[in-house]
Formats: sequence, structure tokens, C-alpha cells
Amino acid sequence: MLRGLWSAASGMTAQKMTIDVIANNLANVNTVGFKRSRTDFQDLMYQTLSQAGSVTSAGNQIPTGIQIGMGTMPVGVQKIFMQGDFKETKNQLDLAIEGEGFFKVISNEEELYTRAGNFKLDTDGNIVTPNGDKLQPGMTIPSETVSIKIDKTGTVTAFDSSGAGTTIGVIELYNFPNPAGLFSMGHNLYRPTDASGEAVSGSPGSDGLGTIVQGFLEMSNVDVVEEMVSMIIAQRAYEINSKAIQTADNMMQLANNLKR
Amino acid sequence: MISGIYKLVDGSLVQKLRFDNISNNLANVSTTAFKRDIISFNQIPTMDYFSETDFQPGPITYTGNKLDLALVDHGFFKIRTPRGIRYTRDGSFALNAEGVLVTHRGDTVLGEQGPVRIEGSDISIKVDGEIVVDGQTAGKIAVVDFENRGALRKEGQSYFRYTGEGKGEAPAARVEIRQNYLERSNVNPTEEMIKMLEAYRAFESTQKAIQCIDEITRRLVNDAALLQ
Repeated sequence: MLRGLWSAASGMTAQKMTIDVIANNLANVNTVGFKRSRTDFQDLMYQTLSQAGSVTSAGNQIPTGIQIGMGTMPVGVQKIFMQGDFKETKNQLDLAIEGEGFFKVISNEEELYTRAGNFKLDTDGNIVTPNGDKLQPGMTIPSETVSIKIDKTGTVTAFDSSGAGTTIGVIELYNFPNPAGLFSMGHNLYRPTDASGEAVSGSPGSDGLGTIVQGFLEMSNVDVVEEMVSMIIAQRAYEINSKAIQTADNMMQLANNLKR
Repeated sequence: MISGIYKLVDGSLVQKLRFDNISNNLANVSTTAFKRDIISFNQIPTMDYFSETDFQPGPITYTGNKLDLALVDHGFFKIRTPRGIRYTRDGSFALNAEGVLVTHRGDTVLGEQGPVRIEGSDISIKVDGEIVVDGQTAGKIAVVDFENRGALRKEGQSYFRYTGEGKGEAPAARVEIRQNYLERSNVNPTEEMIKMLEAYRAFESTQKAIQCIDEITRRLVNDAALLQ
């Protein structure tokens, strides 16, 4: 059968995957702390029909040979950890990381990492994510607190009604040798893998870690225009590969019609 | 009489081969740093054909990922794989758990002094390939080129293997690395579509010619006897 048929089919599958990824990026255009993904492709194996350097029956040496590729394949869907835009919320437990790093939370007794800083207080005074996962290192805000101040190095100070402040704790940030290797868990959470390496903790503003900005949220880093352009390209590439399939079909039809 | 048919069958197989090749180019229209292949002919009478890779650099686009590297000029990154040294222009690199610069497949990217270890977060890669991490030089990315690029064979996974004599590689004449950019495929969809049409129509004509010969042969077999 025609090799080209399968090459074109692999091209269509690849473009379909690009559309899937773009659709997810666009769906998360307003998700706090969301990082967009992109697909990377590589060419599939090559079939060598005649080896370069071999000698033909006529005694000529073939200078370059014939190699026919077998299509394309997705090789990775990678998160792009570019800084997202900041949005001012004036909410005292909304924290944005300006620069690199992740917050650590405990979810189902597992240490996970997030960049979404839309924290809340639970009934016990713990700082938690909207899903109720506790921020690490854990700290309890006293019940008589009226306002919380978090400075850029992560020091949390609680003020009571008399205006006296007490330091409750320090928020630490974590970074990875290769953040692109983190496993996306959904719910804005990431799990470390062998590819990402071990989490390295540090105080905000040191060791290349970003600083914490109170009252702001880091929004999604999805750029709608860029995604739309990618979508146009993916759709047209899908179309062009479908045309190759149609052509293959017609060629086989022609060959079939040889015998009347 | 019949030998004409064999020439035509050969001709239609060549068109099929051209189509397979175009189809692969089109499938790789969004493959990072893909280099298109062309089926060329030596002399028309003998139908001596071969495939060539067009090493023309593709367009580069901004990605914003600091471990994405694009080569603006000719040249290749040098990669150490379990199968030996391979060359690629796909610069979408990553770090592994040990902080070593690797490809998507986990193969080690070689610098001028062996593998490159990156520890730190502020990574900047200069135009000549020098890697500066937190203000300290961590190595220099090796960029090589070949006098005889025709001896490079595609292996899939965007790798090239050198099959010529000797070592072949030499430092690239001009190194210009762009950090945060990736090279795109150098396939031009319009050109490939036109070539696909051409291959298809040529295939069609050979089929028609085969039918013609078939018809003539039928006449000869069935009607020639009646003339006598």
C-alpha cells in the first residue's frame, strides 16, 4: 500500500493533538496560575530503499540513495513556565510569585506544588487553597486577627484589632532543576518526577527564587492571539494532510481501474 | 510491445515514491527543525533517482522557553545517544534530574567540553553558544557542520547520522544561536501541494498510457487475425 497514506495519517493525528492542547490552553485563559502547554513533534523513522554507496547492476555507485520518511509523531507536551500577567485583587491572601518558584501544599497527604496563589483561611485558621489543601510550611492565623501582612520575602505578620503585629511564620518557595518535567495533576497542582528533579526550598527572593506579592494574583500565561494563530496553522496543516490522503485514495483508485 | 508497459510501470512507481515523499514532508509541516526531502533524477532515460535533504534553515519563531535554542545559520547540535553520536537542529532541550542538558528523548546534548551541567535558575545562552548560569560560565554548546552534508542520513526523531568517511564534522563556520526561539520546519506547504498535484497527474498519465498499450495489445490479439 501507499506509504504516503500512513504518513499523512500520522500528520493528521499530530495536528489533532495540537488542537487538543490549544483547546485546553484556551479553556484555561482565565485560570489563576495556569501555564500553557505546547506540543513538540519529531519525524518518524526512515525507510531506506536504496543504500547510498551501494553499486547498481550497471556498475554505477549510487551517490545518495533513497530514504523515504514515514511521517511524524508527537514527542512531548511541554509546559511553558513563563510568567503570567498580574491582576490586582487587594485580597490579603492572594499571593503572586514574581519570578520563579512554587508554593508547596499538602493534598491527600502528598506534597504537591502550585503557582496559583488564591489562598483562603479555613475554620482552624490554616492557609489553604480553594480545594482545602494546606500551604506548607503550615501556620495558623490567630482567630483575633483583623489583617494579615505578607512581605516580599514571605514573612507573615498578623495584626489584631489593637494594631499590634506578631510574626506567624515564613512562606517558603520551592524550585526544580527542570520545571518542564513536572507532572500536571490538574487543580493547578504539580507533582515532582524524576525528570523535574527534587524540590529545592528557599526563602522568597533568594537563590534565584521569585518574590511574593500580596494582593495580586498571577493569571494564566496563555496568549489568546498566539493560540489563535497556532490553531489556524494546525487546522490548515490538518487539512493539507487530509488532501494527501485523498490523493493517495485517488491514486489507488487509478491503479485499481487498470484492470477493466 | 510489452516492454513499453514495464517502462510505464517503473514510471508510475517513481510517481508513487514521489508522492510518499511529499506526504512525509506534509506530515512534518509542524515538526521542529524538520528538513524537507526531495526526490531528484539523475538522467531521464535511465530513471536514476535518489532522495536529497534540503538543509536550508527553516523560519525561527519565539517560544519564550529559555531552553529552546535555534540555529540561525547552517550547523548542527551534537547529541550523545545510546547508538552513538547523532546530529540535530531541533533545539528544544530540557534538563534531566541531574541538571544535565538533554533532548526530549533524554539524550545528552554535548558542549565543546562534553555534557553541559546547569545548576542555577538564571540561564542565559549567548549567540556563540556560551552558557552563563547565575553569572558563571557553565560551558559552551558545540555547533558543528559538515563539508559533505550529503553524507548525513536521516534517522527519525530529528536525528542525522554521518555515514561518510572520517569524522566529517568541523566547527560550524558561523554560529548564531538564539535562545527562546525554535526553528520551524522548512517545508513550504504550497510548493508541496503543487508537487503533489504534479506527481498525481503524472501517475494518472502513466496509468492512461498503460491502458492504451493494453488496448493496442487487445486489438492486436483479437482483431489482427480478422484482417487476413
